[in-house]
Amino acid sequence: MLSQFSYKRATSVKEAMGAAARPGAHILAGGTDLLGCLRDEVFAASTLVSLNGIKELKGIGARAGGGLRIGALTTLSEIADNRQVASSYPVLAQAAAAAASPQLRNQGTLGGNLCQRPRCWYFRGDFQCLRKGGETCFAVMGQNEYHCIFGGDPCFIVHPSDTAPALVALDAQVTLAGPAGPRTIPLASFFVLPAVSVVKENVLRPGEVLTEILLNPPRPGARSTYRKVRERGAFDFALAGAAVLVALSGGKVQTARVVLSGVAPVPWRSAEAEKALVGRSLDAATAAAAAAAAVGDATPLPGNEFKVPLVRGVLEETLIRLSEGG
Amino acid sequence: MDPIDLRLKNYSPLCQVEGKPYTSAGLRELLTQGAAAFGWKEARTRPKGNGPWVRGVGVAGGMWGQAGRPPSTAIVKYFLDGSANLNMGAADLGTGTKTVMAMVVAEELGVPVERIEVVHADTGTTQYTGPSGGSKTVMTDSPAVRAAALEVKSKLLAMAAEQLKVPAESLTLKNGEISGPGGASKVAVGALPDLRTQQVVVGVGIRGPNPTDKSIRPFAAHFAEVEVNLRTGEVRVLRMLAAQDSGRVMNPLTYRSQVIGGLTFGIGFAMTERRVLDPQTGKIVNGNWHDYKIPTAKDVPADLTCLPIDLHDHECDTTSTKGLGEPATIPAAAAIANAFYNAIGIRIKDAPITVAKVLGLLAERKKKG
Repeated sequence: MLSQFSYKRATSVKEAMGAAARPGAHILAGGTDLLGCLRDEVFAASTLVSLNGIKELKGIGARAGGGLRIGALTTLSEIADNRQVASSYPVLAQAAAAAASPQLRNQGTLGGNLCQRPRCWYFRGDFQCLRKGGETCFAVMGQNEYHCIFGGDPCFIVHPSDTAPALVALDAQVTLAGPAGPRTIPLASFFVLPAVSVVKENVLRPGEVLTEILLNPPRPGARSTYRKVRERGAFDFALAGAAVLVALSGGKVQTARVVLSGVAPVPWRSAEAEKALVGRSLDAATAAAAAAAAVGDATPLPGNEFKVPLVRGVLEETLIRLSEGG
Repeated sequence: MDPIDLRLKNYSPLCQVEGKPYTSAGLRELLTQGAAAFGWKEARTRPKGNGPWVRGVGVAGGMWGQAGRPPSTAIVKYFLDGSANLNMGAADLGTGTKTVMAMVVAEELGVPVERIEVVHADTGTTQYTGPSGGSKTVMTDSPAVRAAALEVKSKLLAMAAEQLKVPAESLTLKNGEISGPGGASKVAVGALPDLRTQQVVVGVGIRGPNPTDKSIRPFAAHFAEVEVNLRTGEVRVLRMLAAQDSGRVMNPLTYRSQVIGGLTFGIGFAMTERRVLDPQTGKIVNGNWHDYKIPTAKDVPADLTCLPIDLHDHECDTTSTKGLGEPATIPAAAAIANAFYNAIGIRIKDAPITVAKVLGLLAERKKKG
């Protein structure tokens, strides 16, 4: 049942910040995740603050000095279909296209995709778990096939977003508008591990609104791609995925970004895999070595040991594909 | 040994459940004709691929345990204007029951199907029949509908025989007209004095008993081709063929629709659907449409073939029909699992065939060496 809430349609970011700062207020963008949470009584809302009347939050535009600014309300479909995104940042276009289903991509926004709540079935179900203020992570002794193999303790969610790892691989930044003024931070530091907070997935403060995602000009010689493994072909979250960017120079990998989805409470950047790539030529042997390095410190739960070979397989395949031109 | 040969070698002419002969059994035809249509021999000998994606094909046979049976009573009314009304208890779950039953009336009375009104599944106005379930509605109710239509027909022919002064057995009824031998004498049904007086002829049809000395079973043989990713454990169903023996094919369109639906169910069973319980509380954790994964259009291949073996069964009932709905699902998951085995040489014995299980099996094989 959807409980009673009041509805506020903000016409400016400032107005949205004010309304969102009140206790029990939640920000409504596409609503594809929020309304499900309310209906399933994962949490309650006293007020929904809609951003949909704020024009400046919509659309994709060029930044002075190169790169792109993507408004937080831009839909996943718009991103997947945008020519400039597809040609300059293929990893992002592919990740946006891999999310959810066509209907959800038409409605869901990039900002919402980054701020969505975890899909852990204990968090979403009738369980008073750690993330809902309870005392137990039911996944530890329960059904943990879909849970994390990196960075878990004490809560073992995975971050559900496909676009987040792609954006981290692109070194994207996000702007958070708050009562104390806007701050622009690397997207990688937007997300927090359960060890930092077990009830929040990001650093948003009360009243803060994610307004835009900023992309740097594409790196010279960069190739990027996103590969997602899921149990069904659409309308499903990643069992594991890899957003990979490599910039080649003189036949060697100069820069590498390896960011995994579906395996950690945040988009999981694998410094080990990146280290195994930089300075090497991109070939099958390098791909295998980097894939092995990525899972060296994995700590699977009893039900998700398969994610270790899965990450290896996905990463190896992705790197081989990039070596062939992407 | 080829899996088709194994199944043909083990074919039994006696029903091993009931120890009786079948009223009809098309299993051998399903296996041989299905294999030919699927391209089984070629697919079995084709190279599987060097990886990471490897291909395989599989087959499985199936049989269904339910037969339609009494009670069912239907009423057909034939009106002066040449239209008809069919009144029956059977529900249409979206399977095409209304269409098929109207066709039975149309065939017997020569009335165009669009001039038949079907009133059904209403406890206030229709007669009792068994539930529409168990893949037995057509077999339960179509004989009652046919009997009702035949009673109407014999009443109309009797009226015409009196009018034309010829024996009723020599008359035929079509498109609102009754003709004698060679079309010599004719009378429009609307011109029959008795019908003009009473406006309607009513027939009541009652479902007769099934034979007791024989077993009534629909059969199926399904064929699948899959590919398996040896790196990631992903499995894709590439194509399927369903050969079905359900007696007479009443309507090729609704038949095909049932079979495609049955295969889709089978793919869900094989690949994605399951119930997950939390061991600490006994609560279901996947009781929603995200975590309980029914297949999407991306999971069901466009290449699905329905191959009916139109084997009229004159012993099972008066419309030569057996059930179809569930027989179109039964062997699908087994065929997919057999294709998986053919692709990578590892047996999987529990559904669904998830990435987690496949990677577990591959890791086990690697460990054994």
